Amino acid sequence: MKKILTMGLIAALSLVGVYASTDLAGAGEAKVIATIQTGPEWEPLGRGEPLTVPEVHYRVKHSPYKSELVRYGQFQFNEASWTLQGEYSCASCHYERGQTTGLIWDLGDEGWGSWKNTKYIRGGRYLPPFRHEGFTGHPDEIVGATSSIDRVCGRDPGFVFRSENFSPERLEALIAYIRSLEFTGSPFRNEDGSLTSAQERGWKVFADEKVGCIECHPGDPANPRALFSDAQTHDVGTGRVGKDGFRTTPGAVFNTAALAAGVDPYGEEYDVPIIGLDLVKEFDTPTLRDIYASGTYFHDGSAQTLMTTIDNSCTTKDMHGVTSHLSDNQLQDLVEFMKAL
Amino acid sequence: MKKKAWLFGLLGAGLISLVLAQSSNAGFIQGTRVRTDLPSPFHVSVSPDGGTLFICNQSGHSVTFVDAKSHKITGEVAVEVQPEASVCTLDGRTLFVCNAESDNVSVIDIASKSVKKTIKVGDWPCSIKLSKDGSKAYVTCSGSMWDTVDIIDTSKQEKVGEIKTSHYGPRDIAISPDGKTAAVCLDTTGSINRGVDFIDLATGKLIEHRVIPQSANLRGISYTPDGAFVLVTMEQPKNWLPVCEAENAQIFSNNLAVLETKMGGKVASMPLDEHNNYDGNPYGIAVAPDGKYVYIGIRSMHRVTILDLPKLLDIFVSSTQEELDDLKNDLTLMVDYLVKRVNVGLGPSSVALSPDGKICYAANYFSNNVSVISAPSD
Repeated sequence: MKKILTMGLIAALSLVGVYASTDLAGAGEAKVIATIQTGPEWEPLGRGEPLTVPEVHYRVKHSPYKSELVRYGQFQFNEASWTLQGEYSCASCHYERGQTTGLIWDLGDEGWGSWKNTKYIRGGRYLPPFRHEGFTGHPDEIVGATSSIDRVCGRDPGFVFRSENFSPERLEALIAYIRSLEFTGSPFRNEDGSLTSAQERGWKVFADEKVGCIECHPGDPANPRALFSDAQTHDVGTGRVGKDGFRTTPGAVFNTAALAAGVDPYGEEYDVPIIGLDLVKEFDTPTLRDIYASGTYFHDGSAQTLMTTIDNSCTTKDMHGVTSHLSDNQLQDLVEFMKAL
Repeated sequence: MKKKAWLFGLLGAGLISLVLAQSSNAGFIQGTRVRTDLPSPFHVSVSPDGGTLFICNQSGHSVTFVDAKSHKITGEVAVEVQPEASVCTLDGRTLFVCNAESDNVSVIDIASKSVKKTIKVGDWPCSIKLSKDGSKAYVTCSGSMWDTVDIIDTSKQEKVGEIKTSHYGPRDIAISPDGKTAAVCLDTTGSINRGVDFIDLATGKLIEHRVIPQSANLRGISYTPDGAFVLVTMEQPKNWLPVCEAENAQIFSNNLAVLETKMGGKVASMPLDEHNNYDGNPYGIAVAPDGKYVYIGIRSMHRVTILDLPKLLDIFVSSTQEELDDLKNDLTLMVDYLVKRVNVGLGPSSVALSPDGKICYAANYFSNNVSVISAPSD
């Protein structure tokens, strides 16, 4: 009995000792004093782990399930330590919800000087190819491929996304997460999911063959699986090719100034093109699902609103649908319809 | 016996997944779930007496109650899809929870730990704050094409009105210490110059929209205790140059915007970054009640950055607007007001302080826990 009491006393004293020593250790300094575990413990592999461990994602703690691969991918999507100095993560441009900031970037993927709109990646798995020009991301290539993401997010080797340091398994996890992102669905429909009267009117305009929206954006609003894209590339009068192609997007600020200063855009003193040009005029037809959330629009973000995608202000007249004969009300209805998708 | 339990468990799991599958097949009605089995604590708030923590589990679609003294979990309440913020009424009896994907607010009776009511609000409600007298709760509806702050009467527990913001995407709201004004940060998709709306709460009218030049991803907002300044966590995208020309590889930099609350006042984006040590993706913000420290959850670098607020404001006050414009990319500035970077769990998205300001709580999304941080003492 005495022995037990003594042992208890020693244990209690040592506990107090431990407590006191941790408390006094960094008095005055902010530190983590406790961690409250409110769910299962979860840790990804440390950075010191070899980069080419086979089946790396199955070594994540508590990870008997495939969904753990998605979780690990989500973690990488939100992890800044893979970028140059920890300054941003995928979520900086594509948000944590897999949406988009709607900003344009010149990632150098087809020569410097060509700003491209940040893609909305929810539901992206339904509609390869993944780049605006439709060059990259054949379904065979995106699954488990090591190269598709760095070619999507910048030139190879990626300036933005440093996937050359990634093991194939890490990339696979990241791709699994991106593929898991579903469309969110429109908040603009009636409670029961039916179209409002303005949206109904807009649907009629949309389906009108003379207007032609439905030709490249086929789909039925009653069908939740409709994607409203023919997955082809088309010239809709947005590509800026050649000397006339000065941009309407923020890149134009620099180009105009350079032009006003008398700089020859093709001069040899500039080793990068200072005018924004596209290599092609045809671009991948985007889905219209979640279009309310995926602004700005067009490959170069030149359309700030849905209205400017159809009112001929950002495109060559009547190339992105024949809309010049429509009244303002009809155009507004068309916008309301698009918001419902 | 063990076999039976497994069987029941499997049956139960099957039933639950059937229910989930049903709701995710709801077509265009919102309610798409994040596909993970983990709770993912996204937001933490504290009861007015400091005794209870409320943790919104973004992927677990629930709120976990934690006793702040014993650090023990005292309950969990299922809410709707993707809860992203909560606020407790001043009497400590009711909790309002924003369900972002369901576009509604759950009203939880704290004593019985049960949902009493669900209130429909605008698209993607992701922040909620109480008025000074506690009679109203303001819900920011941050949808990409949504521009309202919805007002909930906390005693009637129903939506009684809405405030129109000047642009889409109101992401977070702070109420001024005198209770008269609200500052709402607008994370407007597609804009490179996002900003803050100052709103007169008596009339619901916009007093001023102030632009934070070259800003994106505005995520958290707070007043300083004297009401003279508003602080906003933000990122600064340098997208006007080809990325190969970005200086110091600053494709993005991470900043804390400081805005004077007086009409037409100064605006600065104070750097949170140092050379080779950037604060990627600053999220939630909390200001100590005595105004000494600012706590910022750095989601993608897994730490809470603590700043010395008086030192930060000294630089702000003593600089002209022109000088402030030059400071925002100065990577040597942060050391002047950095107190400490405290490593926490993975993905701290939200920070909250105990009422006395002595403890900071950080909700860690990926490690499914809450870090308890002691405040620096003098």
